[in-house]
Parts: sequence; structure tokens; C-alpha cells
Amino acid sequence: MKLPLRLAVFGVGVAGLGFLLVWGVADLPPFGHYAGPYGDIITKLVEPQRHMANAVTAVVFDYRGFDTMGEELILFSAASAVALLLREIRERDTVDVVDAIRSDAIRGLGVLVAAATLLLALYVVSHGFVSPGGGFQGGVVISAAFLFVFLTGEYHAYARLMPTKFAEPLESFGAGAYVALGLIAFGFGLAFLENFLPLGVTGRLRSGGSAALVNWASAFAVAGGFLLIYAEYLEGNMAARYRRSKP
Amino acid sequence: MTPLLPLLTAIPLLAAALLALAGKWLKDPVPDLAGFAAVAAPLVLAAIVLARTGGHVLTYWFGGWRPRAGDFPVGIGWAVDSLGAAFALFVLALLLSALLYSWRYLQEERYLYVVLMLAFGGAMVAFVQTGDIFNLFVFFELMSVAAFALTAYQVEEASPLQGSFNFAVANTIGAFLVVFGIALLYGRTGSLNLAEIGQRLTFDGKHDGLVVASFVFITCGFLVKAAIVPFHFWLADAHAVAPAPVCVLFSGVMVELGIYAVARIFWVVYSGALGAFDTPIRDVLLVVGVSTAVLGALMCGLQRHLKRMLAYSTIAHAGCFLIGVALLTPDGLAGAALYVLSHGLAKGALFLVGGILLVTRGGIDELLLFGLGRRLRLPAVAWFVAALALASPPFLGTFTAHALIEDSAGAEGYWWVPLVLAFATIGSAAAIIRAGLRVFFGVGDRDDPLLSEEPTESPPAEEKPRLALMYAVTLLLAFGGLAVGAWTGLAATAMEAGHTFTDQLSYIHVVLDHRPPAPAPPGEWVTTTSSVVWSVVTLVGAVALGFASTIRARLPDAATRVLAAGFAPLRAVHSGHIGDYVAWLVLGTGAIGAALAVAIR
Amino acid sequence: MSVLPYLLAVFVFLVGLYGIVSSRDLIHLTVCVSVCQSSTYILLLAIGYREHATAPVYGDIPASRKVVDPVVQSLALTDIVVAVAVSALLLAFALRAFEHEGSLDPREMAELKG
Repeated sequence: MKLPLRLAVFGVGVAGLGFLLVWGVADLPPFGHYAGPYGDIITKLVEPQRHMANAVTAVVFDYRGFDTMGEELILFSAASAVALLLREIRERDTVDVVDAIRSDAIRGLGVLVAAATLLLALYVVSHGFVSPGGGFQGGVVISAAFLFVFLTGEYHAYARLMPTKFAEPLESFGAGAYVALGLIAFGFGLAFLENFLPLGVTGRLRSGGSAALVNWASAFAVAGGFLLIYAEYLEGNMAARYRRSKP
Repeated sequence: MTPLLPLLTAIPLLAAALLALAGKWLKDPVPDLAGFAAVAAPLVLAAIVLARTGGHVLTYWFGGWRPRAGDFPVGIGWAVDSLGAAFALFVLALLLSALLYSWRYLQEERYLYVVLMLAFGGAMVAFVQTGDIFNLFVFFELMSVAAFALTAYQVEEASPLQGSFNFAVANTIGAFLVVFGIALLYGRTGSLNLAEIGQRLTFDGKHDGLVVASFVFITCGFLVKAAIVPFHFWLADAHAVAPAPVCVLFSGVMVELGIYAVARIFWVVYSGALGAFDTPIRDVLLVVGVSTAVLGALMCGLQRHLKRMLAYSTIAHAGCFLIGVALLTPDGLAGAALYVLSHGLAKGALFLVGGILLVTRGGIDELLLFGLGRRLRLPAVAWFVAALALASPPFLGTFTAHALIEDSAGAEGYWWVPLVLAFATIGSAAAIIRAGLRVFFGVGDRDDPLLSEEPTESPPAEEKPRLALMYAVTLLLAFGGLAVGAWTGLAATAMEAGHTFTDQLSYIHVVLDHRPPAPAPPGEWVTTTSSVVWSVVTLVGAVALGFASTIRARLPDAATRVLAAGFAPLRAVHSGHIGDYVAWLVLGTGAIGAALAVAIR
Repeated sequence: MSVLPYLLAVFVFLVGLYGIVSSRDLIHLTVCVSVCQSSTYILLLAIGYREHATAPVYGDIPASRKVVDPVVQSLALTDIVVAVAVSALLLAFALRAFEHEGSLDPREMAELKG
């Protein structure tokens, strides 16, 4: 269909869809007056029952940990899919690309920033049940740390540090560990993903029970997934650049 | 709480992760064997689960968060009745068939293929068992992402990318609609558990904008997955390019899960609050179902690319599933469930024959393959047996399903439903028979002015495929599909299961109060004369139209021009452009929403 | 005024849909899909907001302090990961399409029709 006709169809649809959306949200409780029981019940229970200070991480890894498992697997599937799709490009050629950045100062800064970011990431992951943060957030920051190496230095430095062949196992390990931790609970006669370790003291680093292990599994899975996706894209991009730079 | 339920999902998913970890270093048959084991084990467990759901609804609470009777559920709960368990078993059975068939047939990065298939299957099994609306969404997305990846598997060509891209964008927008609906429900009820939401909505009794809008969004979001008109455009594109064993799963269970979700959510969440508005909801959904059935049947006959033709046939039958569900009766639902079973097996067999043709004869185009299938006797048998099953002859194939839907529709006063089902069945089966006559017997003309131009598909580069295994699996599915219609005991069980599925209060009591479910009246199969008459009509009609279609080139020019002109706008609308698809998606949601908004105030 | 944040979510969703429908570039299309996704976060988080309440982290606040809903935040986190997964996939498609066709225009890609 030509654009004007398409927009006409869309316009008629939006009239209906827009009306429906507005009509629906108009009947929600007014903004700022969250009423529903779920959040309140959890925030009342989270410290006494689970010894966790961060209610969001408690919901993500404990109360609704099974959803998070599904979502780690989504990231895992997407990363595998990207690997499948870009494999052709990857397998061809990635050698001898000349990098634009030659300043040692920038490279030095990059190393410092990368190291500091990695430390921050590990802090965020390990303190997931104590202060804002957790496996996801920390996992993304881990991947950002490696990205600084690429941004301020050479592609080859990045590729040596975190090539596809490290990222892929890291990610599969994370996803697999999550499912395995769920199954391990069976060994203790408990339900899937039920907590099987002592819960510790609220606010201390060693709180969270087995949800803390799940937290780390998730951090690896997310970091691995993102790093794998970056690696695939960068390798593909570098290969394309190389091919274009050839006479 | 039976620990079997999570194992049905956890085994394939863990196997997928482990295979991804170790896959690159494993020697050739090991990834496949691991895949077979990872599906066969849960398949056995699923059969046990199905046996245990007779008269019961099994529940499972993750993380040990089982609420005490009457308490608010804080964890994620699963609730499995007979239909859910049967669906899970069916998913695993088709998955195992697809993996067996594709042994040595899709060899590039083989372990990644098995990984994605395991993730796909595991997600679908979780989808049918869950009783938590956000969990439903999570596994919906997992199933979708794996599906997008599998569609683009043969990535060397241009059209798999387009097909997969269109599939991905369309389904993702459907998912957004579902999230909007979930957010609205959460805002109103403060819960994510289906039973709890249903209880609160029913207790409130309100049927205001929020309830209606969330119903429309969630339903339309899942109808995108179910390839219902006008959300269906992505299906033909995706099926045309995805490898045949993957298409088996798409047409056999993935599309049907969209219909399952619409039914489950309606019955558990909305049937109390919107109970007084049965008739308008039924009417709107019937209109949508009928449009889908008719459009699918029409487009089906215009295709020369065999997989694309089968895709439109799936759309036509998906319309029929929706008609069965839209009747909002236990028997209509039972009919839809039986239909899913027989259609899935038969359609699966047809796609597998398509794969065999691609591998042995190098093409998938009906006209280019003219007469080339003459010496493929076993695939020909499978093809025609499956076509027969879809044509719904007396006591074979989709017969019991049709009968249940027709009788239920008649009882509610919708006398025209058998006509629509017959149209869809005849259109779909005739196209399949026509293709089979051309390819396997060289019957008819080598040309057909009404067929569309299609890109040809080249066979995947592979080692020598195990034809014997491929033939065996194909024949098993074809005859299985045919046999469903003969087994009236299964129809009786389905009727009972339909009653359990549509009993909202019983479900809520089982999940939240830990009470046993209300006993369902035992199903009793009764053969009505009208159902036999209609089934003879569809059989004769399909065969006659199939033969007649092979000589369409002999129609007088004037007639051909009129027909071509008539079909041209329909064809033009299926443009392959994602912007068009999304525009229709928005229009469809707006229209369905407006119709329901007017009726329910 | 108390419905304005929800209307914002609706507006962003519709804008994203318009972008998808009128797009002439696959990467632009992918970003529009992300825009639609963001509207769902806005809606979810707006539903969970509570006036004069703080973040649901109890490290340094008494247990009786009003906090916002942690559940929608967890839903939004899950949603974000799903969005990343889908975007990564769509961009990979765009990359391959460019390799094949030399163009990122969806109109050039329309090989499947009819």
C-alpha cells in the first residue's frame, strides 16, 4: 500500500485504539495513590520474612524468581539468535583493521575507567539485597566496563579481553546455573527455586539465602548476554570495515 | 503439589543452556541425542501429568510461596487442568517429531538449532501450565524470541530475514498490547495471579472502561499470535521461509497457544465481570473468526509456494478454532481443542512432506514441481492422508471437532456456522489436494493464471538426510491426524475437559482455597445426522474443487479476468511491508475495541 | 491531572506506532519499537507510584515509612530485558538485510507478497 493509504488505515485505527487506551487508563486509581495489595504485602513481609533490605530485588529473585528465570532465558535465546544470524559475517574476515584512536592518554584513561566500572559493577551485584542494585543492573554495568576498553582503545584489545568465545560460555553458564539452582531445591525436598540456604541478617552482605546465588547467576547471564551481543556486532562491523577498506 | 509440573519445563530449558555451553565441542550426533533425551523425558512425565489431571486441577507454587487458603498469593502459581496438560503433551510430542525429522536435515550450527528448539518447546510447555498473568507474558516472549530466531535459520537468503523481521515486529506489538492489559488489570486488582484477578473483578462486578479496554488489549495481543484477521499477515511470511520442522511447531501449536490464552484469560478473569455481555462478545469474536476462516480459505487457493499455501490454510483453520472458542460454551471449546489436535498432526505431516520435496526434488513451488513427485510414493500417501484428515470426512480427521462446534453453534442459534466451517475446510483441503495432484501425479495443466508469483526456496546445505526417519515421522503424524476423528471416546473426554475449563469459580477455589474442583458432567458423544451430512459435503466439495482447480487455466478469459480482478485487492493488501501490517493491526484493535465498547457500557 | 502520566504512556505508545507505520529505515523502525516498549514502562511505573513515598529499600529508613510498589519495578526490569533481547534481534536482521540488499528500506525488502 502506498503511504497515504497506509496512514489513512492507521489513522482510523488510532482513533479507536487511542480512545480505548484513554478510556482504560482513565479508570485507573489516580496517579500517586497506589492501592493494590501486592506491593504493600511484600513491603511488610520483606524484612521480617526474608531478611532482605531491598524489596525490589526480593521480588525479582525471591518472590517472583521464576519470572526472572524465564527472562534470563529470553536474553540467552536472543544472544544465541544474534550469534546464529551474524555467524556468516563473523566467519569471514576480521583481521588487520586499523583503529582510529592512537592517543596513549585516552587509552590510559580507558583502562582506569574500565577498572573502576568493573569494581562498581561487582559492588552493585553483591549488595543487591542490601542497597539498590542487583544481578541485572550489575550485569549490565559489567558489560559496560568491557565496552570502555573498545571505546577508548583498539578493537583488538577488546577482542582479546572478551571475545565471543568467553562471552558465550559465560552467558550459557549463567542461564544454566539459574535453572540448576531451581532444581537443586528439589534435592532438599523443597519447591522449585525455593530458598535452601540460611537467610542471614538483614542489611549484611551475606543475606538473601540461595536467592543471592541466583542473583550472581543472573549477573553472569546478563553480562554474558550483553557481551556476546556486543562481540557479535563488533566483529561483524569490523569485518565489514575491513572488506570495505580493501581495494 | 506435584513436582512433576516444573520438570516439564525445567528439563528442556536446562538442556538448552547446557547444550549452548558445551555444544561447540560436541561431536556430531551428541547434540541431537541430547535434544531427543531432553524432550522424551518430559514427554513421559507429561503423559503422567495428563493422567493425573482427570477430575483434578493440579497446582504448583514456585519458590515455596504457596498461600494458605484464602490468603493473597505472593508467589507465582501454576494451575493445570486436563486441557492444559493435554496441550503440554501435544507440544512435546510435536517437538520430538520435529527434532527426529530434522536429524541430519539442517546441519549448520546444529547445536544452536537444537538449543533454540528446546527453548521454544520449554517456553510453550510453561505457557499452557501457568496461572500467573505476568508469567504468561514472560513465556510468551521466550517462545516468540526463539521462534523469530528459528524462522531466520537459513539466513543466507533474503526472504527469511524479511519473514522473520515482519514476524518479530508484529508479535512484539501484540506483546505490548498484552502488557498494557496486564498493567490495567494490576492497577485495578493489585494482583498478578489469574485466579485472584478473576475473583476480584467478579466481586467488584464493574464492567467499566478499564475492564473492557484490558480485555480488548489482552485478547487482541494474543490474537496477533493466533494469526487472526487482521493481525495475520506475518504468518504467511514466516511460514514461507522457516524450515519445515519449525513450521510444524508454528502451525501445530504456536498459533493455537494464542487461542488458548484468549480462552483461558476470558474464562478465568473476565467471565464473571463480563458475564452479562456474553452475546456481544460472542458476536464480535465470531465476526473476527469468520473473517479469518474465509480470508484464509480464499488466499490458500491462490498460492503456488507450498509452505505459503499451508500457512494460509492454517489461518483458515485458526479462524475455525476461534469460532469454536467464541461460542463461549464448553462444547465449543472442546471442539476447538479436538480441532487443534487433529489439525496440528495433519498440518505437521503436510509441512514435513514439503520438507521432503525440498530436499529430494530441490523445490517447493507447485508448478515447478509438476509431476516430479511421481516416484515419492510414501510422501504422497502422507500428503493425501493428511489432506483427507483436514477435509473432515465422516468419522475421520477433524470430524468430531467440526461436529462439536456445529452442534454447539446450532444450540445457540448460530445456524450459519456449519456453512462457514465448510467453506474454510473445502477451500483449504481443495488447495492441498490440487497441489498434491499436480506434484505427485502430474494431473491437470502446468499453468494457472490465478496463482501468485513466489520466490523460490533453495534446499538447505546438508549431509545425506535420513529419508527413512523423515518418512516414518511424516506418516505417523498424518495417520495420527486422521485417527483423531475416529476416536469418539476422546471427544467425550474433551467435552468433560471443556466443562472444567469454563468453570471460573471452580478454578478460583482450587487455586486460592485449595478446594477440589467441581465435578464436571461426564461427556457423552452423540452423532447427529447434520454433522455427518456436513462432513460428506466437505469431503466431496474438497475433492471436487481440488480436481477442478488443476484445470483452472481452461476457464474462459473473461472469467479469469474477473476472478483475477476480484482477488487483486486482497493480494495487494498482503504486501510484505511491515508498515502495512502494523497499520492493519491498529485498525483491527481499534475496530474490535470500538465494537465491544459500544456493546458493553 | 492525576491521569496525566498515564496519558503520557498512551501518547508515547501511539507515537511509536506511527513511527513504525511510516518508517523507511529498518534501524529507525527498531528504535520506534523501543519507543513503544518505553511506554509500557511508563505505565507500569506510574501505576506503582505513591505520593510522598520513597524507594522500597529499607537499609536506612524505618519499616513504617511509606514506599512505592516494588512489584511494578520488578515487572519493568523484566520488560527492559525483553526489550533488549528483541532490539538486539531486530538490529541483527537489519544488519543482514543491509548486507543482502544494500538498503535498509522496508519497501526494498518486500519480496514476500500475495
